[in-house]
Amino acid sequence: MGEPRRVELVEQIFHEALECDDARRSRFLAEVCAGDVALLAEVASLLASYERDQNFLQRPAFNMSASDVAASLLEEEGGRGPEVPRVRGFRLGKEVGSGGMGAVYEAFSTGGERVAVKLVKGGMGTEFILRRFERERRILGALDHPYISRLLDGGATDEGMPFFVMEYVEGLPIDQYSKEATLFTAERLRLFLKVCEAVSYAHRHRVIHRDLKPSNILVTEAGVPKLLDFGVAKLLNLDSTDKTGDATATAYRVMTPEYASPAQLRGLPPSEADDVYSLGVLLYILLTGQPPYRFRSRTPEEVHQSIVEGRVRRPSEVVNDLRASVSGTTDRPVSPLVEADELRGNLDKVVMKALRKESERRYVSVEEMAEDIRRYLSGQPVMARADSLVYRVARLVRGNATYTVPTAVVALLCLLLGLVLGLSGAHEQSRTSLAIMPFTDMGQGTYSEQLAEGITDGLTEHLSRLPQLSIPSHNSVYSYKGRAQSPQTIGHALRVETLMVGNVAVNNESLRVNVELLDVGSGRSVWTKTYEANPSEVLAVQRRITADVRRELGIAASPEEIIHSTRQYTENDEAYRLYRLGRYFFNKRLSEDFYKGIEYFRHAVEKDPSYALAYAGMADCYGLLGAYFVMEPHQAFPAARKAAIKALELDEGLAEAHTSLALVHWLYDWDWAAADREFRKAIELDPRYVMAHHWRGLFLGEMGRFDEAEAEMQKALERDPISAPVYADYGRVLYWARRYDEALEKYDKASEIGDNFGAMRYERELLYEQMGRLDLWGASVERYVGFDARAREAYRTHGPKGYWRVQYRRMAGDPKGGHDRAEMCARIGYTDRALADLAEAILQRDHRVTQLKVNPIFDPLRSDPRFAELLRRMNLTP
Amino acid sequence: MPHEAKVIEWLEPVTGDVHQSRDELIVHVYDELRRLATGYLRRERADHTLQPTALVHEAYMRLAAQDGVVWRNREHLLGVAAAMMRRVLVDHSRGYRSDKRSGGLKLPLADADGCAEGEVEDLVALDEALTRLARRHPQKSRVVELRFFGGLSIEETARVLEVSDSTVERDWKFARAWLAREMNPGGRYG
Repeated sequence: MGEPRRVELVEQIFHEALECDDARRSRFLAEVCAGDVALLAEVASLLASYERDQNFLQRPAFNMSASDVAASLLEEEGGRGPEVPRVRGFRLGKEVGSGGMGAVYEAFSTGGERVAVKLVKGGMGTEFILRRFERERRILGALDHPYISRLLDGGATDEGMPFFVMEYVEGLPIDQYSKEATLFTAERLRLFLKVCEAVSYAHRHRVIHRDLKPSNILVTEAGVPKLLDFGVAKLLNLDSTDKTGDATATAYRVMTPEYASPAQLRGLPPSEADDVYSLGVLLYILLTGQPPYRFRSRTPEEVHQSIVEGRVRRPSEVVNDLRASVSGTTDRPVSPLVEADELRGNLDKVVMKALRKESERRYVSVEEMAEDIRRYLSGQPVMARADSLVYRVARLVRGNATYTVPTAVVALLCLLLGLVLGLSGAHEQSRTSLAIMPFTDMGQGTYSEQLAEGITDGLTEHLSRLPQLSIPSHNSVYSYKGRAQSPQTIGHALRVETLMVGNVAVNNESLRVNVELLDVGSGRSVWTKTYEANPSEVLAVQRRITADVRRELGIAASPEEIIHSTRQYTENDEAYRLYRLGRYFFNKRLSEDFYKGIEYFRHAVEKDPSYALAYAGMADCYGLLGAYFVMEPHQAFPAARKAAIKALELDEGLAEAHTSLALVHWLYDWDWAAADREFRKAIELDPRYVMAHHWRGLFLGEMGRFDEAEAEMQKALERDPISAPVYADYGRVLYWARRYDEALEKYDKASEIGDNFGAMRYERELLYEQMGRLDLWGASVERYVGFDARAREAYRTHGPKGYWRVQYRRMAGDPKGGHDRAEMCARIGYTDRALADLAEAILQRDHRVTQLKVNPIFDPLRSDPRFAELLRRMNLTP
Repeated sequence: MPHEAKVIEWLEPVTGDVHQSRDELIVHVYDELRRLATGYLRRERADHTLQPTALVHEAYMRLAAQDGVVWRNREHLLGVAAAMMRRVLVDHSRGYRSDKRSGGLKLPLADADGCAEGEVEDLVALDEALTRLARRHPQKSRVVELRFFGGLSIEETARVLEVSDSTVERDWKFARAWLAREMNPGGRYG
């Protein structure tokens, strides 16, 4: 049983059980749960909790309600009430509809005619929206059909905002109408055919509606449907006067997920097939009373997964089940006038064909779909067929993802591979995606370069907190710093639709930031703005940019999300600037820079002692100093812990701080359970924090939990597709999993991205050794380290073992060298010494010992009981 | 259309010549609350109490006076007010919890004016449970926010969410059972 249905079932049984008296309840539950113990337990525990304290939450948290607050506020304003815009020549009445950018009012012309006036909302007049508005007006003007609401007039308000006038449609949304007018199946189909007629007419005029849904199709009392709201409609084959079309479509994607086709969700160019799909959804609702997909949440991931990968139940199944489950007692949305038997077979096929995920397998036109429905109504067989056998077999091979039916199996396989790649690419695009490119530094101030980077990172951080936006993080974009590449090249590599570029000029008196949005598809600039402020107002400028960009991209966010996205964690500008400098140095990941990072974080908390994020940053610097062995682990990690705990005391909900603490538990305490608990807590608090996924992936790799480790690395890469550190560590995990070829690919990727990760020489040499590629190993040592005379001689006569013997003697006295020596001895075959050196490394708290369980170099020691004892000492299972 | 996407139109500020965006407004409200909260704490060192109602109210008053905002839709305003009340209360409860741990300033919310005395002791836990509820049942979580934090009646809640009264009643019952279990799993079977 599918998860969403089960959730609803639990709820339904819960309510029905509450209606029962005590005597009947247990019998009712036993009956309705029919041996499903889990279901019974679930409902029973809810009932028990409910009964235990019936007053739970009944008394509001405040004495004064939101309603009181609102009332006194509205009163305070002198009861002015809602403000209605003025449009010359029309008297505006009540607002009858409102979307993301426009509002529709009932209005009367001076001649007394009742009309509808659509206006751009106050404060929403961005260039994007004005252009879209203008396009809608032109599209409506080009259409004249009895089932499409007619454009009557247009103009601009006194404030210069455009408006247009349409015929006023009084009616009910089509699904509601069908229910209230108690239409039979055939009547519903005839009404639906009229809608098809209107959509088909629009298609002949090269207009794609792209937002067909019940609320946009009103049915008048006379039973006439009227298509409304061409606000996101598109003209195909754009003529030269509408150059803006493509840019707008990609940067400002508006849709209703339940009705949007898979292609629309992926942001593919619009086609008639999108409307065919939405009509399929509409027909599904008219026949079953419910949409084909239900989302428990509206996260882009879930919506995308359901629509692109999920399976749709046949309408007849749905109607059948609904009937069986409630036996007509409650007011279920399904009409009692549609029978499952009517749907089974032909109508099922028609609906399912319109809903197919691949547009090629849908009806080629609305007209073709309408034709099939007419056939059904006149008792002829429909053209739509259930999926062919070849297709179904192929589908089994591939799981749920689908593709066009090929004629030959060979072709099928090729296509299959192509599509898998295509799909995974498309997945990245399911949200609005934006890359914030490194801002250019134009100023002469002391820290202007760092400030430019700080603003880039600050905007990345803030905009990343909006769940609707997908933004590659620091490591990804900084690989492009200073490289001259076209927006298209960069955009495609980063898999984003829009790029943000900008520059910062700062001196002692002023701060100026230029920001521009570029559409990757067309390479054109779609928005630009200059911000000027005092140098001390960096925070305010960032906040303004965040708000403007959010609005320009048309992202609707809840207040919670907006607050979260602009939350600064400090109100002190200077502290923030210092924090940014700290992160700047941390991100370089070079040993001396960690010290600089610590300095800046320390200054930041001097300015704002409650600045939790700065403490977390400090903890990360100390942690990596210990991990990179730059600082004595017994000094570095306790310092890291202190800072992380301080951060958590200030803000328990800070994912960054939990991650910092996890690092200490993992690399220093060797307390695996605690480390994992902190990592998971961090991820729960902020699933978008890349470093938590990245580090947890590495940690799980060391624990030998390779599948989970890989999943974490992939999550990190989803958010941050061009990160050298993530690729490098992903490679390490694969190396531990003995998947050497794949590990090499990841190392190549990390090198390609470059920066400090250069050739990944050492990691590669380890790989070559395990792969037995001594030629490559020797070449690499030669190239990067060089053999001295003794080492060369030893290598020539005794192979790698000889080489390691020489190295071992050289490291003999190094107090920090326990782990290195143990590895060398393991290679040479000195088991006793290897074990002794490992014991020493454990005492030195060398964090590399945490890899003991998975490190391939120690494979020759694994059968020795003393090695198993070492593992046990570290709480690692052999 | 219960399943249809609803662009959450919270506030519709129609300002004179200043085109202030909704985001800015909401952020502004929140910042103002935080600032006021700090002020209250400093002033009332004697008893260390916070008066959340006064706080919310004062913040709105100031904003209204300052920006000449016209609230176009009362329901929107109610929704925002409830969300803000939740945040103020929970944030301060959280601050109280961590202060208690470090032995610092105490902020007994339960004694503050109008707060439910000891009924829901752990507002932070409630807030977290509510966030989990929102993942599975977003509408039910909003119902709790409006009813419990916003103190709205069933009817008012229904108007804000644009659903029927009976839907709100059902959601309210189920959400309370779900939250009670989530916060006190002792009652769980098996």
